[in-house]
Amino acid sequence: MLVHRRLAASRVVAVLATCCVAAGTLTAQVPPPPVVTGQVVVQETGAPLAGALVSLEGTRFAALTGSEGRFRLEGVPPGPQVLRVSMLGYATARIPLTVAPGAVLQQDVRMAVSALQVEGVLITADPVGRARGELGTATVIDRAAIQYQTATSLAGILELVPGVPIRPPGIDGVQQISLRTVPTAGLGPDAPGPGTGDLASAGTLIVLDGVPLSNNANLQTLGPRGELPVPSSAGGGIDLRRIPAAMLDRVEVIRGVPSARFGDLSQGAIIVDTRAGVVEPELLLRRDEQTSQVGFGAGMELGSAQTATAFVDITRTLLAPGQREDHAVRTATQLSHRIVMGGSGRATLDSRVEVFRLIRDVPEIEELNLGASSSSRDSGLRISERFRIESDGGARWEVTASLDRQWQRSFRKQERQRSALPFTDRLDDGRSVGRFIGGPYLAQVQVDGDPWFAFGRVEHARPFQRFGADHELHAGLEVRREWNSGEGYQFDMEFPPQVTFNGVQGFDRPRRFADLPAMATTTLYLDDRMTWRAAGGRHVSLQAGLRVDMLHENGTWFAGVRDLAAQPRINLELAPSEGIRVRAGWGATAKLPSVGQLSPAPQFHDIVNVNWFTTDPAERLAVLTTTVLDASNPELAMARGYKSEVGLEMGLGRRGGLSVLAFDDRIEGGIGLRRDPTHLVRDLFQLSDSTFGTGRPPEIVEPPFRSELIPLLLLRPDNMVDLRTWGIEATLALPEVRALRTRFDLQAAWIRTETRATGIEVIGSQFEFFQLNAERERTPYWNRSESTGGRLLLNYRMVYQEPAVGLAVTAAVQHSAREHVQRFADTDSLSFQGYVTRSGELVPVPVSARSQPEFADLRMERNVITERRTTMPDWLLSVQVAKTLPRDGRLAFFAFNLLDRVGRESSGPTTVARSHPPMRFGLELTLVPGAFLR
Amino acid sequence: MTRFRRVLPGLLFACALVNPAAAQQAPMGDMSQSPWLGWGPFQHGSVHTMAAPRTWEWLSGLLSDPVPLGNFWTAGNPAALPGEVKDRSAQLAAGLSSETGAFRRPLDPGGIRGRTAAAMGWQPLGERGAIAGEVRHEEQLMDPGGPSITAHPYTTSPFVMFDTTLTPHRVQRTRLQGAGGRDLGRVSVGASVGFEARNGHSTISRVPRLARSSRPAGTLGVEIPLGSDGSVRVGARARWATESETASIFAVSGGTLVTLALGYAPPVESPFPPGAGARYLRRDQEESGIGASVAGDRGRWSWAAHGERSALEEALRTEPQIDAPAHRWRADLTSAGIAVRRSADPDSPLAVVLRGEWTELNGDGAEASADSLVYDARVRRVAGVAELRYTPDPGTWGARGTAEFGQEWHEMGDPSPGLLRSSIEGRTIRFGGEVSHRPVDRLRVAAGYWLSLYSAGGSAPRPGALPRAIRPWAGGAMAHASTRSTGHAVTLGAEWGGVGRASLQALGSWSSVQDREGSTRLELQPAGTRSRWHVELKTVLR
Repeated sequence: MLVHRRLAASRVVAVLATCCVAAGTLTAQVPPPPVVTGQVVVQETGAPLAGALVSLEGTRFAALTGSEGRFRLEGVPPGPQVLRVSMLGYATARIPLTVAPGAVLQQDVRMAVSALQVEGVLITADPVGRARGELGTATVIDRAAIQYQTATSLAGILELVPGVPIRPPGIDGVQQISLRTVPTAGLGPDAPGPGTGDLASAGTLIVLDGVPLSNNANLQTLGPRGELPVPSSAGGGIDLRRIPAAMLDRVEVIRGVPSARFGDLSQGAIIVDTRAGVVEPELLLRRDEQTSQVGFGAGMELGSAQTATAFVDITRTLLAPGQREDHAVRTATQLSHRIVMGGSGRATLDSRVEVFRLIRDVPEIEELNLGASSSSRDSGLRISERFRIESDGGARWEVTASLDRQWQRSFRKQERQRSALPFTDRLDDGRSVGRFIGGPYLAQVQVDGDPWFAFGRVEHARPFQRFGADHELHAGLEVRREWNSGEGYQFDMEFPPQVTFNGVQGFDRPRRFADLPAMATTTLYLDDRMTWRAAGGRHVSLQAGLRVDMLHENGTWFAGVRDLAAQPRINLELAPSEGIRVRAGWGATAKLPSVGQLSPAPQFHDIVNVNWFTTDPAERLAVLTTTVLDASNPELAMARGYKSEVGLEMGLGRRGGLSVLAFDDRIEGGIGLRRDPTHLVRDLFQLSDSTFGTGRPPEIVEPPFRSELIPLLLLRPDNMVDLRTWGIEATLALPEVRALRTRFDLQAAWIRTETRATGIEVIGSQFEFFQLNAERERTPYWNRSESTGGRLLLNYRMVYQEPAVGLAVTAAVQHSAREHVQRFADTDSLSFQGYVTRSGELVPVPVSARSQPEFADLRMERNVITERRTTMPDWLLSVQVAKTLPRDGRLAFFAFNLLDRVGRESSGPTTVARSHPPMRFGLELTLVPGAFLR
Repeated sequence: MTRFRRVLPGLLFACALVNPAAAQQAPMGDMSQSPWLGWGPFQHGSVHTMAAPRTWEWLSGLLSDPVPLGNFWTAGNPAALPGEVKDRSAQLAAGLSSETGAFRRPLDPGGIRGRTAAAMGWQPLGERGAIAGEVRHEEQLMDPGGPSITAHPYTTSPFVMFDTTLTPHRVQRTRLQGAGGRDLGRVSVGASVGFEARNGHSTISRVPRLARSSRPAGTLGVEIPLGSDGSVRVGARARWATESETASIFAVSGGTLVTLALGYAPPVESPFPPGAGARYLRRDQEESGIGASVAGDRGRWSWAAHGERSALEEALRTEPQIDAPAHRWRADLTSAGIAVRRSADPDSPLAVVLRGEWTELNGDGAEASADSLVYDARVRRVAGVAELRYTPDPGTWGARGTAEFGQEWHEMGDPSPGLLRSSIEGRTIRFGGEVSHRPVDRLRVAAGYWLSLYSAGGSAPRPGALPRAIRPWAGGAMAHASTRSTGHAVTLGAEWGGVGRASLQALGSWSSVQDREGSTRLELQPAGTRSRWHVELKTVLR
């Protein structure tokens, strides 16, 4: 790894040097800065619109229109830009334009009450957009595109990102995102490491209104022994259902290398801005077969210096149509307030309060599932404050503080059946007399978690010019602390939810989350974005930064540093001519472990010493020795990621463009569960009087007449997983066909993901047999654990707009051209690596010796599915038809899998079956109540 | 064979066929009956449906403008839009309905409670174009009573799947259709597209079931004027529609007996004990047709005539594997109609509308396991309606009266000589009237009453002669069709002409059908009454 890092560092230096040389050759030809000017008018009447905010996206250039609707932006950066015009009561207009160096560009804007009535407004993602202040590859999704995407949460909006599959809307299941990854086959029940469901833990950062979200203190899981799983995003990424789509104003998805301002990630960052400021009251109603949604939002001015905004969203989704009528219900509220201080308007304080509640109840229905029920109730409160002050020169100080508190309640009850077993509820090491339990019983478990996330940041930003370049420098200090104060994993000890008891592995014990230590980090970062400009639209942009994350000991910022991750990042953009951009980026990232991984649950082992079971309960005797093993790993550290990409962008005129890039993202030291071989000792005793009919249990005779070794595999979190994803993303936006008022876009993403885990593998049933049979001296182990997944996903999108009647038709065909998953494992009888002894030692066996007679007991074939599973090509058509209504309303029809496509799926080379993607359709109505009063 | 005379109560199916104008004002009801638009690409879907004498939906016709005649409005040719849409209109409606009663076919739901939302509008687009569009969304909760797995168990197709469990169902349906036309000088061209979808599922069931269907459709049309004044216009159009339906039934914690009917032949019966897995059904249908129409105006008279020839192919599979053997149903359809109207004006406030239509369907069904035919069907329908409408302007009173007649012939069964066949001939007569009054300036109220009489004759297999498993499906339906019945319908409506050109309407209707005294009592014959009420709020923006 060290060699790799040194090589990477030398590459960074080389690139920096190249850029400096390039910059030096360009500075001599700097032309005067260009100007963008124009007039904003009302589309229907042509009347000038005063007070509209005109800005260049991703820059600090902004102006208000005057009484004649005119505006002027001076000194704007040349090259491709997006002019944004917003005004209360009108649809925000985004107009891509190319600014030539030294030119004065006239751009008039016609504002309509609905985006559908704006000529040529983009109602899909901007394929070559730029996140604000970022040079890395990004997909920008503006309010107009959000409005025309059928989505109940942020997850639905992200379907506009290349490589993200389209799903039907709803909130019935946990929604997570992992950029630029595809599901892998999983490493199987006998192998450690992440699988399909764990990819979200690879780390895509979500930043909501300038403050990161975190899932690191979410402990709502029963662990590897749990038999009654509860739905949860624990161990993965943020559950995106907490962010309703209707509240979103803008989403920037940084797929490439984010700047050093963003951390705790490895797979990119998603920057989310919710709607705030003055917003005309708006009511949203949406309904399809499974989901109903009501949303309301409004924002108003409070005097001349303050605005307040409120949004409420209530969504309900049917969970299992056909069998039951249970629902998942989300309520989400956001309140925001902004106060502008001082006459200059350069000091602002933004306050946000977000409340959400996700309820999923599956009550018992006697005729369907006697004795079984479950519920999940997650609530959250997040308060954030951002104070920003800007000086005359554009320098800015920003202080951010946020507290995110959640209440997570999971419950599951189910009837279980087991044979009579010796049982103990002892909570510490030692031998004790237990009792027998068994028969049918109702197992139930309650998991109460209260995760907290406190975040603070001080950032200084300063624009300046040096070495002929425009600089935008950011320097900041971040602190964060995460902990869980919940009552934790609770159940009646007598009726444990985990009942697979083999006389060695212990029964579950309750666990209190509040006793776990917190996790604290401190971060410093420095980032500079430099731009050298030359004639003819040529320019060179370089963004370079360094981020240092420090993970502290003991959950306080004042304790020592447990792990430190220095993360240099660099992005380079060369524009050899107007309309062509060549881009490259490389950066190191780090992803924090979770609180649960830092403090894993202690593992209880209840070894049966005496199992004397008689028909007379009074004569029974159970003696068990409890051993509590600490599964924590003091060496556990942050996972390291390395992102790199190179790409080309070309303008094709009339908003057309082509973007092609290749990326290679690696994660080293991802966290999985390592199997540590060890052993315990079982004492066997003789009984004093084992005659039946005495009416009392026998007694053990000390000392034990024999002791035997019981081998164990202790599951311990470890940085043992490497993950690599690489691929190609391409976006082609054809110029608008004006005669047809139609745009065609193509997004293509070919992504391949590989996971590899170190550590040993065993055959579970064989190892259990080995544990319980003292005569067996050894059992084989393997150590190859790999899986891959690949996907070629193409999205064809057509947008037809008829502004004269406020009609827009969006048709998206998602073409899954190729998809496969495969697990690699050694399965033949000579593939074992060695053996585990009864004392827990690993003894390797050389390949040359494995066929010798002395290892005959180790030669066995493993029943692991290594067949490549390929999904046959298939496609789905989704459509939205939106039409403006009188009084500024809008009615939309949407359909997912409009043609009720029955897919073709192949599993292996011979079996062929059909898959049935769901079909969903419904209506969405947006009303502006104020319009009825005008 | 037993010969008997029959009476069917519902004459509204005839109304839906012959009176698109009334259909356009009606609530959605059963979308398979296509009662509510005459111009879209779905307009002829109803001719595939076996006579369903329970379509008796009514709303006030006096509170709405009469729908004009023409190649677009009557024959569904979108190329005629620029010539027939000269103003702008939009309607938003929301309604509630309920239907209950024992007088029903065996696979019909025991009761239906529904909610409907709809929006429709049309407007010119520039000087030489016009568009029209409609979206309609309906949700229904169906009480137990209909054990059919497929959405429409009473089509003319002989392949119908049903089982023995009776559970409540929720059904959601949406229909979206739009049309646009453009005048290119002497020739006008146009296209209409539509999409209809259905999602349904049982509510709480040990044998859960899911069913969904999707039906996209499109029409391309062309229209040219004849003569120098263009008062006569000739149009041609091509129509295409496809429909897929997927249904699954899961024997989770309960068992069921699934039956696939093969016409009147012995059906395929599959017992599904608890935990036995899923039963699958996939129906793929494709329909295409070409049609021609001619329309004209002279003075206050306008008229339109149209005809269409179409073909339908349907494949039904019960196994999920690709290319599994399919039961096939093929049908040819022919339809023709004519409509004439004399408009009212201030000097002569009496308007007259006359309509007539004839349709014929011939179909063959072949079982998957054999190439030979197991079933054929021939359905013919003829219907006519006359409407008088008296609406003086200005005036405080208005009136409308209609008289309708419909007759249909159903001949179907096993094509082999000597095997089971049915031949039913039904006749429907309906007449009634409606009056409106304007008590104050902006308020208008209307009330109406209609009486329907149904009678039928013919021959059909004795229910006992049918295979036991299909008696509820086929025998029950024939017994239902054999019952003489009487229908009553009452409509109430009020319109408030708010601000500007907008108006708000509150509409309601109640209707019922019941067997008439003197009907011969037969095995599986229903008795009693079935009634329906519907209320609707509608905003009309002009």
